[in-house]
Amino acid sequence: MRLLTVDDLRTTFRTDDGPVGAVDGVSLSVDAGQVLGIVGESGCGKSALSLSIMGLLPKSATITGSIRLGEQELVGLAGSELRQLRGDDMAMIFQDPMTSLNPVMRIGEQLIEAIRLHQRVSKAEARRLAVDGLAAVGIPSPEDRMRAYPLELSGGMRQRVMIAMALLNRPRLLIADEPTTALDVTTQAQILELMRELRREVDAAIVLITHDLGVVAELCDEVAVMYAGRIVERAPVAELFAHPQHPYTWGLLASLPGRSGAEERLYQIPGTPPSLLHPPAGCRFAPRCAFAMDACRTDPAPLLTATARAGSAVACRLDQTTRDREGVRLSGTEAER
Amino acid sequence: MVRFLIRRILGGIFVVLVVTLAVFVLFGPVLRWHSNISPARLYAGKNPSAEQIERVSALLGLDKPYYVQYGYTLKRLVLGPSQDERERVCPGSTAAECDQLLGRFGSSFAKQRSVDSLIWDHFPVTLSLTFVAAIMWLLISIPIGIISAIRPRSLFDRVSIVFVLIGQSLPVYYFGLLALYFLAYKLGWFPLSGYEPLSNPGQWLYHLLLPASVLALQFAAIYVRITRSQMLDTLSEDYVRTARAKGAGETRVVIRHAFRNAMLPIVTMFGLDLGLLLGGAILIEVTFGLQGLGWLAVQAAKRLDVPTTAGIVLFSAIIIVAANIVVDLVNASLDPRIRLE
Amino acid sequence: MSEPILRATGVRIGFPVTRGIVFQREVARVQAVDGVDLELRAGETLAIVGESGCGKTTLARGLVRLQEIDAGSIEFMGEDITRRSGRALQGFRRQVTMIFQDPIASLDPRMRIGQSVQEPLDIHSIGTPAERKRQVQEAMERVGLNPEHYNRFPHEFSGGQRQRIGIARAIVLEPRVIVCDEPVSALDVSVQAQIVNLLEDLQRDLGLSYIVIAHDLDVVRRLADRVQVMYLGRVVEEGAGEQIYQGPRHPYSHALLSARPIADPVRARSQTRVVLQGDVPSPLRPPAGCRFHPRCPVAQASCAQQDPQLVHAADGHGWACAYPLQP
Repeated sequence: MRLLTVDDLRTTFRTDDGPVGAVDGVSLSVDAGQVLGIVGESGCGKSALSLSIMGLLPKSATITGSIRLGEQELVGLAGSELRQLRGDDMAMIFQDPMTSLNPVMRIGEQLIEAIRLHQRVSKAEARRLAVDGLAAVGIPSPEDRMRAYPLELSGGMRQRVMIAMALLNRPRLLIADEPTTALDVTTQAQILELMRELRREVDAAIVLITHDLGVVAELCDEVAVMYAGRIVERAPVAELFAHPQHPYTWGLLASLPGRSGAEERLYQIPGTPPSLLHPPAGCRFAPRCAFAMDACRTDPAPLLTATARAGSAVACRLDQTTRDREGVRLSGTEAER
Repeated sequence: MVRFLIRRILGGIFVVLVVTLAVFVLFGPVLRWHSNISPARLYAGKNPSAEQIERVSALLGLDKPYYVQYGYTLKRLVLGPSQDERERVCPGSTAAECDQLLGRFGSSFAKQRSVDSLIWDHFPVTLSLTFVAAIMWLLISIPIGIISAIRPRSLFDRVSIVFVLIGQSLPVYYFGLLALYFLAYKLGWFPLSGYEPLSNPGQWLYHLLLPASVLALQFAAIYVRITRSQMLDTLSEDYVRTARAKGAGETRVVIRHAFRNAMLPIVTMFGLDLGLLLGGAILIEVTFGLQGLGWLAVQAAKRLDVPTTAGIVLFSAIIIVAANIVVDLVNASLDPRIRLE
Repeated sequence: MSEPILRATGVRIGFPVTRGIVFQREVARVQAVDGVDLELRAGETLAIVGESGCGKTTLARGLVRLQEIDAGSIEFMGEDITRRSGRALQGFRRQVTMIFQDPIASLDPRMRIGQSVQEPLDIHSIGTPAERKRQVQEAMERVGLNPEHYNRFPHEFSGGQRQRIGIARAIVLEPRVIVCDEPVSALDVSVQAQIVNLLEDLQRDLGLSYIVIAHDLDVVRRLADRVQVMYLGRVVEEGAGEQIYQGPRHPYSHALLSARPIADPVRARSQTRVVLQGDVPSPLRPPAGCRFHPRCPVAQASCAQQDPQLVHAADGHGWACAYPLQP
């Protein structure tokens, strides 16, 4: 069942230097039970996209286009209606568990608040639900943890609390924004394992925002690659890693230190991402792209169109043969098998 | 927590000790050496003879070495005047009569009173003024600060910044005089000066309203600024975003999540300001003829009433130290990060 | 084999835990680094890996004498510099420099970047002002910065460029050794690759030796000739990079390697991984016996009593485990 449909979403921030188009015509959809990964580097607009969906943008931002949760249109919804959906039908997990919990409130108080904002239950009942929620995310002695303050818990435990809090009201859509980035590698493995278990149990659509292609490979069904406010490629996860279609994706894959052999030089994408204040005309990746043709720099950027590969779409002028050939060559996928 | 409290109290006692020593040295040897003012000469009245001065010296114990004098000053501060001194200063009077003449802080040169009784007479005025002003400035500044922070750069915010600038830059004596001239003298809305005890609450408030407003306006300016900047900081914290993501309404987000964190430094500042003001708001008290501790200090200094001046300094120091300890305790109870250090 | 350029023996670094109401006395010491040996040879890269709280950053600061060490010694080119101070330490500081994780926090925002890069030359009073400026421009060019940007401020640069400024500052003194504390972990993937390549180029061209402190095992694998794995202040495994990556012997190294997310959906989902339970214990009360035993998936009863020492095989691969994994 299609749960989230985003159509031609544009999110623009008003700044002193002029408007910044952080999200510039993004369309995507996620089904219930599916995990969509959104990958990109800092400043590509992936966080602005997730905040747009949640309706958590600052006042300086305006959005156009359409975001539908089930049948309900979210763009243009009144603040109070959106608020009722937030934390109930759609929930969010943030990057830094050290700062995302209120330092002067007990864990229990924060969990109970999340429940009672959306469910008409007694305090005692909410408390019982909160303890169950903590137990479900693998927190030992949850009764005791209810009385703890955030600073008494480790980073991994705090992230579990955040996950428990997001799941308390059984959301239909869960957005996880870099949920493991701030954690140590063994803690990250614990949280990834927890999320893998939970995705089987909760039948929610999950949008996973990350810069880490490793996390994508571990957890996602589908992937959308974002660059400078736009989705440049979208594919089922296996396809993306086996037959990447966009030159930017090739660059991302090739620059992963773990993928190429230790002897050869690490592939690097030249230059840096463009400023969204004055994005390049034409394809936004063209200035850094080794394959850019004149048309790429002058003509309007290509739209996301289906490729010959099943379920995948790319916004690039290169022909299919070149894309297949160069993708495999550059991103070193074949060599690794 | 108990350990923390004990450490703070011991620290406070140490600070008070240092202040007593400083006060003793300043008002004793330094005064004598610098201005050739001897307490005995002052106490002995106009144009005293050498013999009179010597008698007074013995009466006040000023003939003893300095360390003995300081030791006794400390002892008197803690335990009250010794029997020996009582007999020297007020021979033949009853204990109650003698208490009026001699106290822990010694006795005044200018009046036949103990410094203690002078302080206790004038302190309620300062206490009342501070209390009324504090309530006024909190009620004014915290809502303004919060609203400014919620809508930065709005018209409201800009007006409040102007208010802050005016409040901070107007000298309180000048502004006080303007207020007196227009509101009290020209319009007659407020009394020109004086204080009424709390036993008559209406008159009490009526007499305090104008001076407290002037004082409050000055402090409100500072508190608007700190509330605004603290709120701006906390409103951009991740946990505030988390609260919004939970679906909490804006009021709940602002009050329960943001303000609860933003008020911690405000509480600290408030405690310290209260301590400072309780030692006497000199300018306001003098401008409005309120006979509080600040007013008393000015009077005492004018008359070279050394024991009274020293007593007020010491009393203020004790209040400030106590305020510091209270602030720490309140902060620890509000903020688990301090409590669980 | 050549003499090590930098050698640390039995380094211990602790932080005091104080108690007391008026007079604070030290009641315990958190042993952040608890007896670490290391050797860095000329032209080599030694990586120190481990999770937060393992003591790797404290060790790095100790190695460059930014942190007093409690016990043990540090030798640089055969000379003991452990107790040196003042002028005597200056020579060492010219030869051993540092790159930090956060290029934003480690640059003075009000200083032009040329000045930032030049500051070490000023401190060590090297050359005339004209020579210093030339050296700065050379260093900037070498790290891929436009020397014409000498007069710009840090905020005008992207994260990757700022890290280049930090590297220029580290190489301007022409050091022998650079200690890199998480040099790329604050950077985006595509920029990470640029900096990793730059570090490799500089090593080749300038004959530098690196100590790289990192938590990202993949970056380490690219850069490092040898690797030391730390857990709770101690080295639990050391050896050539491939020895550890291909056949880790210590269960902790194995768990670290296994915990990495793999950027390959097929392998990521087919491999069985060891997920460690719980968190790293407090270094204030390290577990008795082997420090890793409470979280170790293959711990035996004796691990709770016996603290294993680092033992080395003939090929230099060493581990501190009573029941090492078979390669």
